Amino acid sequence: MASTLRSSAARRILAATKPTSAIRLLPQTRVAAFHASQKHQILPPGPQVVHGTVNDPVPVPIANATHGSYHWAFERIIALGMIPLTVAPFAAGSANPALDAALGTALVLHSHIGFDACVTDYFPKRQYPRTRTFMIWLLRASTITAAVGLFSIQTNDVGLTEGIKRFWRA
Amino acid sequence: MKSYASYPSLFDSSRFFLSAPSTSTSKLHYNQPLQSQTGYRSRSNISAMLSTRVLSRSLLRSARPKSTTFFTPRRMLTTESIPASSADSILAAQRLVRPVSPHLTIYQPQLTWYLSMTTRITGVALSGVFYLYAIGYVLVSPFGVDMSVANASKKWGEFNGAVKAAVKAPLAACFSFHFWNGIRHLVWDTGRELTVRGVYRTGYGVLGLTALSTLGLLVV
Repeated sequence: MASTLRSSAARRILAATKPTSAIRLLPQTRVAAFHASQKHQILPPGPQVVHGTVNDPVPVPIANATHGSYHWAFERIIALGMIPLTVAPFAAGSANPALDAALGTALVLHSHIGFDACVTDYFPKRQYPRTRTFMIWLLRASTITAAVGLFSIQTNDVGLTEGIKRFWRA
Repeated sequence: MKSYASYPSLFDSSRFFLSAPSTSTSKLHYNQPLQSQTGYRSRSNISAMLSTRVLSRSLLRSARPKSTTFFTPRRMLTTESIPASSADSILAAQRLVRPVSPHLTIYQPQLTWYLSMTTRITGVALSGVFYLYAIGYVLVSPFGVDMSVANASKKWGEFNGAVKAAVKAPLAACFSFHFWNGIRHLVWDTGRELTVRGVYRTGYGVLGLTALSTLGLLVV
């Protein structure tokens, strides 16, 4: 591009004659905003983190089924199992306690995996290591508390399926 | 001319000389603040550019050392010594002022990614309601609030019919969609319907089934 090839002297003269842009200059680091394109941002940029140099090789983990393959299969087994467990109460009109317990357990696990995927996606470890750790532990605590609540509903109260039915027909 | 792509890559290349493996490196900056040099081209018209070019050429010619005995070329640059360790913080600060790449809003709404996104949203909504009630059941009950299904559903039943419908309809839609699209995903996981045709066919199928079962849930 021609403008990048021009002499610094010409730039300086131009800069002196043109009004300075209102782009904010960071005070400490003397970094200028070089970008003239319009901003179309939904969220502000997150913290910018630099690890190593651009010439570092990408770390490739050793392939292991425990890094995701088992998790993937487990996820699918739960989701698949939830189909009949969800349909059965509709078909039968009520759920027996064993089926209700199975549905409740699957529901808690399925919800936990789903929320966990959201934390993984929206709080990247590289940019938000602390928030991510906090969210992971918040989710774990929530899941355990929800599981305790569900256990209580199933043992001392009317149960999950019956509970939903009562709310729905209230 | 609002944007040109060479700027980010050009100035991000500061990374290379800033991270040179020396104990100290120097940062180049012109006597004028850099920000005043940006965007001048967008404001200049052709005649200004031409005159600039002529001006710069004449300046370059005059700056050429014809005879070093009485004319010493003066460099219009100053350098500042900074530690190599500050390279990353300068780069990070520079990246903060880059424009964020446009996303979501610039893509054409398509059945593919809209249904994918909706699956997550509906799942989070349903599980969110479930978690809120179950956690409340544990945490609020000790403070004397009766969270039992019998009591809570009775309180809920006292609401206006329109309010109940306004809450139940989205819940029914969320449940229906998540259920049917979940099955669609499980079908994909077996390797079936993984073509553009298959994705659209199953997608419209899911939408149809969702509409039907939402209505069904609202009348039961």
